[in-house]
Amino acid sequence: MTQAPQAPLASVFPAPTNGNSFSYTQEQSEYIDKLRKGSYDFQWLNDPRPNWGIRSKMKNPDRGLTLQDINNAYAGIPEDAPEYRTMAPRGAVHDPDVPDMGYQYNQKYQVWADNVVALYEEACARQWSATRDIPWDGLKTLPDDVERAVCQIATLLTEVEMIASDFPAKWLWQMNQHFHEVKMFLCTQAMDEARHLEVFRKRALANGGGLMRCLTGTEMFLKTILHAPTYIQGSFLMHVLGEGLVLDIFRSGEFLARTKTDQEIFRLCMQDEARHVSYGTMHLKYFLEHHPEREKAIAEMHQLAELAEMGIPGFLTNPFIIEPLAVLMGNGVDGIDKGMEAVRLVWVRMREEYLNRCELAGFDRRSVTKVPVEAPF
Amino acid sequence: MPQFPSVEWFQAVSRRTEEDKQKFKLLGYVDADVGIKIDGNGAGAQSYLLKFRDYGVKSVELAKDLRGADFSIEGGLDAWSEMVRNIKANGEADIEHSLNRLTMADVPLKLVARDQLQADLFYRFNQSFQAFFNEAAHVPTEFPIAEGARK
Repeated sequence: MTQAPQAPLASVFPAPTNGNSFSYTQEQSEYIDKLRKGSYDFQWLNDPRPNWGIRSKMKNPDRGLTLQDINNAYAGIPEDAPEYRTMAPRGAVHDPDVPDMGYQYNQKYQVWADNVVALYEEACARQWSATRDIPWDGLKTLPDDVERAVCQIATLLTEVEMIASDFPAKWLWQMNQHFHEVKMFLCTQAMDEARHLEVFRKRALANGGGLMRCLTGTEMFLKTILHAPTYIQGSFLMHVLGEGLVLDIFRSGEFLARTKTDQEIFRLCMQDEARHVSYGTMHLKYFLEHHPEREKAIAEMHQLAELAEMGIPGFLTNPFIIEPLAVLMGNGVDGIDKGMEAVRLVWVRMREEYLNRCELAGFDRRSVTKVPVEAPF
Repeated sequence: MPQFPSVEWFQAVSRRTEEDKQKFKLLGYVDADVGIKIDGNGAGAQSYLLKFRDYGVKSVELAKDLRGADFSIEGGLDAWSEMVRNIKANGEADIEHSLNRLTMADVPLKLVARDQLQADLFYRFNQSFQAFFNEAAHVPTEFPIAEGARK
């Protein structure tokens, strides 16, 4: 097992200690002397530089004071490229010698989406609890084949959902705090996905079934997302493609539910997932529209998409995915043939909605994609 | 007693959301212009534009077309009436009659949107839309003769 590298603590905490007594810096000592004489600094009170007198107005008191409200009042539109790499809030005054945080994503086009501020507020307003808000007492004993199908899908979703927490966690600290709304939205996404893991794990273990099989192919796709070399690549793989597919699974899950409990689980997850997909779609659009080398960026994204799209047929020709779906759709193994008709519908819808989202982002995949229009079965 | 469908009926459901505002507040606000298109058994289509704002519906209007809607849910009078009857019978839509379920396969209802981002609003605010229609359980409703005639 490897150990985490040692942090250069001395560079963070340079103040030396002297035996049992604490040593103050020259500046601290001078200030302490002033305090002992009853004199205060008050520089913060008299500093003329802060933009003072801001009074953000609630556009809608029913909702409360939103990010849009405060952005309308002050420092609302982030610059394309902030001068500093600091955690100082956008619009605040800061010391000229603040340390460089080492952010890698300092350009707006690398992280921004025009809907991200609204999506953050929406996410906060629509949080729910997997413990409290699911009618768990509505579960009822299902035939073994149907319960197994539910549990296989629940296992898959328990497995895949946390990628959308791990992925933003990996990139968050590398994003300049100037674009705090993006970071805040990604935090809501991480929480959403933690809740999805929670709710599907609970579902698998709550009704006489259990956790079932996880597949190498799924893990490989998750690894591709987690280890994507850049944020835009990972965001495309996860927000647009992966979560787009899962959004359709959630929608299908609500459609297939045999109990109110399952229906509520899928409906609530569907809402969350749709926010993530909306951010990803609009981020792709912003990225491509504002990239300094737009044509090159589009070409690179096409290369990525061509490889990634193979995941769609891979996902929908996997017996551990489509057969449980078909059993649920057919209400049992006896109805699997009928259920497969619905799986074919899901294939068409997944492909179509993915291509629609790409189109919306100004990224034409419809004319070049090799994903078959219809299921090959 | 308002007839389904009519502006008065949708307004009556909207009033219910006002009366139960705390419940809708817990679900989260909604910003969406939703079209409802109801094909009336050969008697032509009726379109309604419902402007969802905050925790309820700000306005309901009979619309000539639904180009102003973010998305619309479209289907025949029979399907719509069955959904409302089901809600009234069960106090809420049962698992066979949720909005998502009825639109999933494009029949009997269909989700129509200008683009995918607008269509995604249906998913993002789905629980609020379902809760809105579930309020129909509490609205005295007269069903149209055309729909009743099919029985």
